This record gives sequence, structure tokens and C-alpha cells, in this order.
Amino acid sequence: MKLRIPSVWEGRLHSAEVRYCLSVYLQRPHALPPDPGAGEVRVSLSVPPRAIKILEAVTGDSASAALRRLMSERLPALPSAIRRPAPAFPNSFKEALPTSEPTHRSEPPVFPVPWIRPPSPACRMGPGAMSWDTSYKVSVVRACQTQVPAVGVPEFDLMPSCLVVVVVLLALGLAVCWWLGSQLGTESPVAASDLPRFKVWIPVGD
Amino acid sequence: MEQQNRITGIIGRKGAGKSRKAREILQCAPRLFVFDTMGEHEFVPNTCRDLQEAEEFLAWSEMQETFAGRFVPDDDIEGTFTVMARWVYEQGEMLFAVEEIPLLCRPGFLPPELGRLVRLGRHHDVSLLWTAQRAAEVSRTLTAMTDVFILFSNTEPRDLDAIADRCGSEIAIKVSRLPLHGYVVWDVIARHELDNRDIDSWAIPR
Repeated sequence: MKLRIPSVWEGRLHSAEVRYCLSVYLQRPHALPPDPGAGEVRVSLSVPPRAIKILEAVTGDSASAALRRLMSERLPALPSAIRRPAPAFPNSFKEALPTSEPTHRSEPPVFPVPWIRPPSPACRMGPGAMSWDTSYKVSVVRACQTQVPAVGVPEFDLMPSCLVVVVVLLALGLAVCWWLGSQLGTESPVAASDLPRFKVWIPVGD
Repeated sequence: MEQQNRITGIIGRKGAGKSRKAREILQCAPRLFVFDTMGEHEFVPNTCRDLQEAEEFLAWSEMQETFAGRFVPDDDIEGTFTVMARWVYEQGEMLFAVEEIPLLCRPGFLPPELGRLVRLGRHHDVSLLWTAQRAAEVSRTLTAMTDVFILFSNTEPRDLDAIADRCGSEIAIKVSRLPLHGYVVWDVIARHELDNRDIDSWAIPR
């Protein structure tokens, strides 16, 4: 299908990526960002027509607008995002891609896609998810909750560094004590002049 | 007339007896500090092997009527001499002896600190005694400021020329005819030879 996209997306939108996002969305529907709007650039994408129909029905938008909303999650329309673009594809997806595009295009669309992407930590239940069944919501919530323990992991990682800091501070304290002790034990030149450290001299003839 | 300091130079080949003669003079000095480059003046009771020791000794010596010390440089002869010469100049009132002075100067160059001792030492009552194996290697400024020469037997033409320039051709001829351990004591100011029996009277101002 052909559609218009924002000019900042030019060269960054590919059929394989759109198909991937579409399959992920249809397995885990969620709220989508608003349509960035049709831009000046026209692109032609190879996407399964049936999946596009379902997307239209779920979002209530036209096919073009729904695809733009879907892809705006991955490709922000703000120019600042261009300077630091996120990787368009995860490596695991690239490996799962078919080797040649035309061969894949000739095959009938596979839906749902058997490959299941693990839920990301950023997944949230939005208004769009309210229309889905309770088991799905529970699964999403659990998937999000499974990410919570991962937040505590850095605390355990900090323990060795805390020990190192404590050891370093102890070593510094000992060094300072040793230095102070050595300074107290050292005789200053003035004090040395008071001690009979040097031998007297009696010149010849005196 | 104000009591002047005295600059004495001892020149002679190795084994001629320079150090022995220097020792005879130094033993008569009531306030003595030796920059002992060769580390051979063991008769001096106080030996300093680093600048801190030397500083402590000089601080102690300020409160002594008589004292004798020596500094034996380790490796940085020029650097340590610069410091020692400055300290000696600032403290004043002593005989400063420097062994093998060609290690510190050249015919056309005199280190600034040594030059200050030579030129202005009399204002601080600092007398100087130096030794060298060859007259031609000693700074001309230093030889020009020297009051008394002790010249040992020498037959090297360049050295005899240097002696002739400073003491006259008659003395140079006399030095060339001296026996192995023979020497001449020449007073530059009075322009006559001195009697060795009164060595302490002409080498060390009282």
C-alpha cells in the first residue's frame, strides 16, 4: 500500500519493520500515539492486507493514519529524534527476517505471527486496552510486574563497590595516621639545633 | 683596613699533594664547610650526605664558635652545589672549600652562585679555597679573583701558559722546574712568594 509519511521518516521506514510492528501490535494491542500527520514523502510498503484491515478496525482510523500512528511509536516525528535515532530493528528480528523480500511478499500473510516478543518494561495498559479481555490485561500486568525485581538488581551490584569504597577509606585513614605519626616523630631543624647531634670542632693552633 | 676574605687556589696534577696541602690549611680554619666532591676529607668531623642534613648542620653551626662540616654530593653535583653555595653565602663567616672545582665551572663559565661567592663573599666574610688539577680548566673569573695560589709541579704547556697569565712567566718557569711534590705559594696582591711556615696566617683570615 502507498501512504504519506513525515519527511523526517524518509529513508527510515521499511516494509519489514512495519510488518514486525504490526504483528507485535496485533498480539498485544495498546494505546497508540496520535497521528503525526501526512507529510510530503510518499512511500510504498508491503504489508499484509488482512492485518491492515484489523488495524483499521482496532484504531478506528484509516489505514494510512493507523500505520503512521503505529510507526510513530518507533520513529518519533520530532527532529531531535533524528540526531539520536534508535536502532530500527532488534537484532533478533533481523535474524528472523526472510532472506529475500520478494519471496516473502508472494506468500500469504501469516497471522498471528508465531514469534512472540517478550513484553518490554515500557508496556503500560492504556485506554485502548480496556476493550480487550481480562486475561490479556492480567497477563500484561504480570508481564510488567516481572520487570519490577529487575529494578532491585543494581542495589545488589552496588554492594561490592560499597565494600571497595569502605576499604579505600580505611586505607586512607591508616595512611593519614601513619603520616601524622611520622611527622610527630621527625625532629625539626630547630629542634635538631638544640641537640648535641653534631661534633664540635677544634682547629689546629687553638 | 677592613679584614678581607681570602680566596686560595691549589693547582696540581693528580698525586701531587693538593689534598694534603688543602687539609693542612683547612685544619686551621675555625669555621669550615667543605664541598667534598671526592669524599676524601674524612678528618672533618661532621659529614652531610643530603641537603636536609646540611641544612640542619648549618642551623646548628650558627650557634657555634667553631665548627667543621662537609657535604659529600651523591650524583647531582651541580644542583646540590648551587643550593650549598647559596646557604653558605647567606650564613657567612666561614671558610668554604670546594674540591675539584673544574667539575662545576669552565674557563669561560662560572656558576652564578659560585660567582656571587667569589665576587661578594667578602661582604659576608666567606673565604674560599678551591683545588683543580689543571689551571687551564678553571674559570678565568675565579683565577682573576684568587688571592693566593699554591702551584704544584706542572709541565703541561697550556697550564703553564695559564699560570703565566695570572702569576707571571717567572712563576710559570719556576713551577715547571719544581720536583714531583714541590710547590710554590704565590701572593697575587703582594706579588711575592709566601713562607709555608705561616700557612694559617695567609690562608685563613682571622
